[in-house]
Amino acid sequence: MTTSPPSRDPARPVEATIARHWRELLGVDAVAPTDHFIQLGGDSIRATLLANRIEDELGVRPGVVELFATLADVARHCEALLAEAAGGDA
Amino acid sequence: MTSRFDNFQARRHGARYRARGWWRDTTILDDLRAAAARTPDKPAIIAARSFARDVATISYAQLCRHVDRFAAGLVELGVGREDIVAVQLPSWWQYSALALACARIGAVLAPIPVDYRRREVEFVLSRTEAAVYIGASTWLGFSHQGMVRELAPALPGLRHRIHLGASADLEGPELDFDAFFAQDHLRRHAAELDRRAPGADDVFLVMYTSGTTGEPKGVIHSYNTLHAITRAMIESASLGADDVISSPGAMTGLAGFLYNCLVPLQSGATAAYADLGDPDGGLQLLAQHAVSLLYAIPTYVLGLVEAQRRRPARLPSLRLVVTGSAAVPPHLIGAVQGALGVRVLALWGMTENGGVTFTWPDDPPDWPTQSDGRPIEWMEIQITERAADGSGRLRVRGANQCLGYFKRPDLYAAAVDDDGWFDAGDLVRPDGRGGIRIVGRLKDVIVRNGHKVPVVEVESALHAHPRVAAVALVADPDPALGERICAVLVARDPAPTLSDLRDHLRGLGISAQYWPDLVHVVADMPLTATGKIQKYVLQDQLRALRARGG
Repeated sequence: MTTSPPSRDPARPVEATIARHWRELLGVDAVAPTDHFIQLGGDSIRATLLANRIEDELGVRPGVVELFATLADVARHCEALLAEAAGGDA
Repeated sequence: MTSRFDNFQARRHGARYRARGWWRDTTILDDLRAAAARTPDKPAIIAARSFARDVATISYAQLCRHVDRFAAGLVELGVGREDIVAVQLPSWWQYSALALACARIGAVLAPIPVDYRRREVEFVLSRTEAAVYIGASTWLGFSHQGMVRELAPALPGLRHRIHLGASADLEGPELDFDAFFAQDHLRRHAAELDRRAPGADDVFLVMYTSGTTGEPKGVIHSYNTLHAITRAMIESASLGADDVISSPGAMTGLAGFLYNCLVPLQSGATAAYADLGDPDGGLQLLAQHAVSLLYAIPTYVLGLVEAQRRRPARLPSLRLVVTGSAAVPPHLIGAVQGALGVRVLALWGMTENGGVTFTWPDDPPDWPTQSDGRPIEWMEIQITERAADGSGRLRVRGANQCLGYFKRPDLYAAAVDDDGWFDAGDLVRPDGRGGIRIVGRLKDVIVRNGHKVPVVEVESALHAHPRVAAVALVADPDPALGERICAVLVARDPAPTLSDLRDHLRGLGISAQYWPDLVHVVADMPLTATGKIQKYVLQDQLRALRARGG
């Protein structure tokens, strides 16, 4: 289904963290930045669990609505939340 | 007038049910009118859209006007009495108004869950011969408009396709929902609406529910069977006009339709619902709109408790949580009491009969962990084929019970005996207080996130994969989903991965809620003497694997 390489870019640690949770929660072997949460079987219950895990691990909580997106978009959103939490101008 | 539906229940029991006050001669439309006359400005519906981030508040007077407007539009499209209108919408306020618009003109509502895909949607549309399909244009990144456009050539009976949020991209006979219903159809058809008003024994709903063996079954309910179910829910929770009632359940399913539409209307109360059904959004809804009663499946209730622990909201109006459709975990009662400050009642029912047994306010607070409740006055229960410990097969009958399965009287006849007892397919034991406790299932069922999985259909779809030699779906207990779907395979080399299987099912048009959550490859299947797969053996193997942490 997906041809782009799996996400293991060390320069994008947030994306790698979220990719790990996607793999665990969605039961898939590999995820790519362009993969969409819904296309991999994500639903509102899993989105909530994902938000809980991100909050526990990264200390910021994305809205459930923001998680219905591609891995790259979710990662960007969380990076923005982290930057905001760090002082708004990071 | 001849009818396409056979109301055996009304012929045989109608007079008695009416004499007892369980059935009536009015419909939900009369409840709507009465509430609108008493409290025209009171909110009938508060509907939040998660992605649009807006909230629609519809008063009783406004709801009456929308219902007339939508009903006149359906008349304009040629929808007649007993014609089936298929609706595949998220829980938006238009869903309630469309359901009531069907009731206004004696049309029959056939809901289709939003996550149903090509295969399931085609089945419902072709089986019901629906002339009208009303759906979202897109929802959660999926184009329902595109899906139905592809299906249309194979569905000659489908004359109209109406899409909400579609205005820019219409093709052929497709209509934009807002533009079409904004036209003044009422001017031409106002007189027609009252002429078509249905009787209380007419059919309101054909609701497809996943069959455990083979095809989905279209459960037929009349205004009266739904009235009896609705009243059971109102009385068991002592609901009244001051309540604000909410459920995260989709309105295309029976529990969501009852708690977000029929129960509030029949009580003259307010319905509050959202289209995503996630616990975070649900908690906000509870707090912002002073919800007093929540109905949700146990896993959702636990999600709500977690949301409240993370970000406590003030919930002074909440007074009761009702749960059902799966066993209540023992820690749920205390967790709800601790985090939300209210008690929990449980119910048991099926799409065929709504809510049959209920735990009651005079039961001990933790009773739902030991019981699925006592029957409401107008439903009888019977435990047959009892084992030494008193457990046996559950059968039910009474005023809630549906009229049958649409176009499959044979399937319904197989589930009911001559005295009207319906075999629920559950193994139960007496709870010691006049009620029942579900102890197991007699059918091959997986209930994932509150939804029954069509086990046989998914198995045969998986079997069509070139590297699957044999397959069995078994339930895998899961705290978030209740049960997950485990596909046990005998595979040809190289064994397909979970992603391979999901891609295969997606390609066949099977909705994601039925895809396996995990895969387990075995060398061969344990078989009975007659060659049937012994699922309980597979289940034991999985349990052993889990115990070893595998």
